Amino acid sequence: MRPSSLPFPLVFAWRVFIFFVVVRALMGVQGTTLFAGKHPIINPYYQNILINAGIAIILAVSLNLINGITGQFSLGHAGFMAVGAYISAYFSKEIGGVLFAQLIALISVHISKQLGTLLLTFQQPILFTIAILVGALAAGAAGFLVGLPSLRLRGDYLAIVTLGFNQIIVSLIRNWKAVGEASGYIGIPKFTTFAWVFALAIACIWSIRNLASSALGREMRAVRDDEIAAEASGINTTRVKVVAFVYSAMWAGVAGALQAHYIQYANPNDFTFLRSVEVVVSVVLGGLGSITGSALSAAGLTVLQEVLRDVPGAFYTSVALVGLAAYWNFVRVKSEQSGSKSMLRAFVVPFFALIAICLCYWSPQVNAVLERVFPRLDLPDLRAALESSKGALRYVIYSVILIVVMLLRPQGLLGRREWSLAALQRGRRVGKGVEGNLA
Amino acid sequence: MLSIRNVRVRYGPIEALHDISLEVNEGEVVTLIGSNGAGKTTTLGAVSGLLPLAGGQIHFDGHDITSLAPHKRVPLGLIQVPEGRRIFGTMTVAENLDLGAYARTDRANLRNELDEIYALFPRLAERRNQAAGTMSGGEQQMLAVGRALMSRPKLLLLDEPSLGLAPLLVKEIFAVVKRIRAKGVTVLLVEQNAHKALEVADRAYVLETGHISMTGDAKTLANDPRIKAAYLGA
Ligand SMILES: Nc1ncnc2c1ncn2[C@@H]1O[C@H](COP(=O)(O)OP(=O)(O)O)[C@@H](O)[C@H]1O
Ligand SMILES: [Mg+2]
Repeated sequence: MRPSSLPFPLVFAWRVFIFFVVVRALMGVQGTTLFAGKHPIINPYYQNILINAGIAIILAVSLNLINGITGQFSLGHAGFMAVGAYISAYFSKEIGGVLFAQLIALISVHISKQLGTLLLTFQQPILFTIAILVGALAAGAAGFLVGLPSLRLRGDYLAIVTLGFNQIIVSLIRNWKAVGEASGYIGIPKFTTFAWVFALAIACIWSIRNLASSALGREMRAVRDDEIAAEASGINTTRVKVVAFVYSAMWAGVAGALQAHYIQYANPNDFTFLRSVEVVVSVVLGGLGSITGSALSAAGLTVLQEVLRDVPGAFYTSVALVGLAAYWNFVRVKSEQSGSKSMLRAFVVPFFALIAICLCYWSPQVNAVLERVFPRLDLPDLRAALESSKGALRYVIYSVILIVVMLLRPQGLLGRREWSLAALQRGRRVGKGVEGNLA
Repeated sequence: MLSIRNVRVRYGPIEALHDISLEVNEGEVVTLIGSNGAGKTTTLGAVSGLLPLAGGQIHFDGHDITSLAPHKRVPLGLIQVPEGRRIFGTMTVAENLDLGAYARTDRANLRNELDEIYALFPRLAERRNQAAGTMSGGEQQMLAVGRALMSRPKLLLLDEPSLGLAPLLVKEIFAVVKRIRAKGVTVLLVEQNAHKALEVADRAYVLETGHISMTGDAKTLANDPRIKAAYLGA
């Protein structure tokens, strides 16, 4: 097997592993690991971002299976996530520990004491694995329940039904006494580590990419391209759609389990349709049908939300975005093969946007200069104004970024293509993708 | 081979087909002609299973398929080319053809079928790695027919294959129907282009607002004054 024919997440994981081994060897500090110890290589602040990005990746990549690859429109992904979060948390907190203790006791007495002790040392990973599985299965069952009656519905109707399902789940949780009703479920054990999230995100990308390029994946794309033609060709479209829903919901359940066991708390408000919309945004932004696109945009948006927390971050992000917009604008104008005049014109709007951003950022300095020249002026300090309404600023810029990207690239960042390291090595930026590989 | 008896189909409260009966024998080309909205597409939908029946029975090749799911009818040798060039636009021509053979169990012989289809439609061979959605309307229609043939059908249901095509392509499509028949595939051809359809068909049924108003030998019908007045513009 040629290395480039390996599934790319494996290659990627392998390279990341090598990278960390090298870093570790270079550091050579006793008692220091990547994520733990007194001076972990990746500090807790970045760990937090990486974990959130990993969970967002699982959500976006799995939703892409329904919305991008199978061409259905689900707006209820947070509902499946909630099922996974609450069921797995309930298992870990109320059932798992007791069950495990009894099991160990039985094994120690009847089979062997060593085995009992051995199992006890692995209690946490074993319990967490089971909790994740239970959460995923419950979410998958919910996916089946939603998928089945929704099959006759298309487009907007399906979107509304899935959204309704999402709200029903949230309402049920708000009235479920055992998990704290509307005030939230507290005291969930902290099982989630970066390693879990990283491994599961890789597994999610890998399995969904494999599914997408399998025979079943091709049936899914056939349903997306033309459902009637798919049905007429003998494809069991009902089965295809249910499988997509169940599989996708299971991964959403995994993401829910990871989140609940990370923040050790679950609140129904975290799983409303707003969260679902967030996931849809990642998928559309990355390019419907592009798995790597979903992963990249989910990670990117998580980091973006973090970066936008302060004014310098917002400044650099805005400048970078204007650059990107100018580039896309230029590429578009160039592909229309118009004259050099209109190519220049492609930069007019980004140019003024850049000036506006700079004026805001350096407004204290600009004001000082202007007020010295025109002493009667009393200019507002734009930067201070932005800084004082930090939270609002973040959401405004975030939304502006989404609007600009979707205006300039309606097909999403990667369109329907895939991004791979093998393609990079061949000196091309974008790979052939799932579609091309099958021909 | 195909026998439709007293079939009725409803869209909600409106009945689109009232008591339709028709027969297609092995080796025949039968055409179903009628004006827009007569119920031709609805009839094919009933045969392929895309639409549920409100009454009547359908038998195919010795099986009662009245309430069989569409994906279970394809393996029996019944395939429909739906109206309006329905192809899988983001996939290549080759992938589209491969999906046509989806329901087949004898996948070992696919190569022969593929060669035959490329011989029938040389233009598809040239474009085998092109995304189907970027082809011209005529090419897409050829692909839809080719994809259906990949299932190696006993009976091919064609829904207005000439619709919206340039005259030259219309001619080509009807020539293809003749060649498909020469391969031993039975064809039920739905057309608004009655003139051409009666030329290639053995027998014909005339559909008028949900019921069969006339039936008979294609040549006889082509000379019938009523048909001439209503459908042949003479
Ligand atoms: N999906 C539908 N819902 C409601 N009525 C329909 C639908 N499809 C077709 N009809 C009606 O059924 C009748 C037959 O339509 P159709 O079979 O498409 O005709 P044809 O193919 O002969 O042009 C028409 O009156 C049409 O308006
Ligand atoms: Mg029609």
